[in-house]
Amino acid sequence: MKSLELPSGSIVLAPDQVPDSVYVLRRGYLGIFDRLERLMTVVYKEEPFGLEAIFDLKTFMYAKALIQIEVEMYDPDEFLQSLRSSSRVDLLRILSRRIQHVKRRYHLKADERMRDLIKDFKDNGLSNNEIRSMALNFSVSDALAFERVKGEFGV
Amino acid sequence: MISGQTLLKRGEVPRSFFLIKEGTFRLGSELFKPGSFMVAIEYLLEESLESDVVAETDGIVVKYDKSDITSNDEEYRSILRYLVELLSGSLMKQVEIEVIGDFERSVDVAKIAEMIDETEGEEEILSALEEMLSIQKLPDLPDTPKKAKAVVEMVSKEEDIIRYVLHRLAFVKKFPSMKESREYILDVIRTYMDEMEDRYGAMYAIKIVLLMYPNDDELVREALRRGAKISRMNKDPEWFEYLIRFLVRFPEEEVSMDEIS
Repeated sequence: MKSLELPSGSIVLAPDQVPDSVYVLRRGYLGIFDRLERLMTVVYKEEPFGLEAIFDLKTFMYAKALIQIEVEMYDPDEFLQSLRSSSRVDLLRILSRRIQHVKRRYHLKADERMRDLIKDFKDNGLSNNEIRSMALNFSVSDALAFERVKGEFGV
Repeated sequence: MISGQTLLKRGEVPRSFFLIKEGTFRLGSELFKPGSFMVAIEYLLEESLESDVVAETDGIVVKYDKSDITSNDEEYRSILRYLVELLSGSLMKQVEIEVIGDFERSVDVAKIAEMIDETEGEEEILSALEEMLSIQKLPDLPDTPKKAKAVVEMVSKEEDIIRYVLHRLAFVKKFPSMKESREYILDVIRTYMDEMEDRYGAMYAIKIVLLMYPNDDELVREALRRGAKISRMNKDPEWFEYLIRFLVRFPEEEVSMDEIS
């Protein structure tokens, strides 16, 4: 186990990398940001992050120090084995809380968003032809969502 | 379980969670296939379900609770892996992640540091951070375009640049077909990028242009150029898509790499 102090703004984990250690935040606050630098969730003191290291998974988010922090770095397997049974559920709860935060930020799924958009177009008096020609300029993901839901509005 | 059978009802707080062995199950718009855990998060956080859990096909599920988690290493590892995969984004990427309908700002770490310095007490800091995680809403405007415009024009950029852009965005969202919306959205893109250096805000406005004004050449031209530039600054491979869309849309025009670097 190694202990590190890092200044505010330090990036501890970056996207598209498999972390080499599991980290536990001992002091300060750390933010988990997505690629567009939106704050998705916060890691609190005594909480671990970088758990992707245990399963050789890539992380898709940034972990950035919000203020000066102190972290401990653990070998992934050692960290897992050191968890007492009472801490196991706590760890799962911590992850669940983080997942809920992230899900809430991404809460608008493509189909729901596209339904709202088509409804807006119709409310603004656009014809089916006009809506279809707008859809030609959609991104691939929006275009696929459009194809899935357009039938619900008779477009 | 038999196809069509309801496993759990909307509003229930699950007393256990489930691993799907066979068949397909649905929770709202999410489908769960063999190997997936279902309602693990709601169980652990003791939250009520937002939809019924229904068997789409005949299936078999295994029921778990905390004693199962603590007593069995292999099962613990597989549950942990499931949650870590969700969090690492590998499952999240299957969900569309472009959020346009609600406004979210990027966060300046230096500003957070300043805020934490000025705030006393851990609880206050944590609740301030939690507040930042909630979605910021656009201001409410009057229902008639004339009155709404009057409200928007009263907000001065010099006094409060953030309210300035938010009010213009609110007008665009509420009255997209008014000619003022066209001027406002262009103003918002330029303000975000050139004056506030807020790439995320600019991207949000660019996406509004591409979705809502695809036939307006002037708006689309500016949106695609700036979209390419911001994507490159963010080291996002999407920049290439913006450039191609520009070249396809305006085949007579050129884009120099200086413009988008």
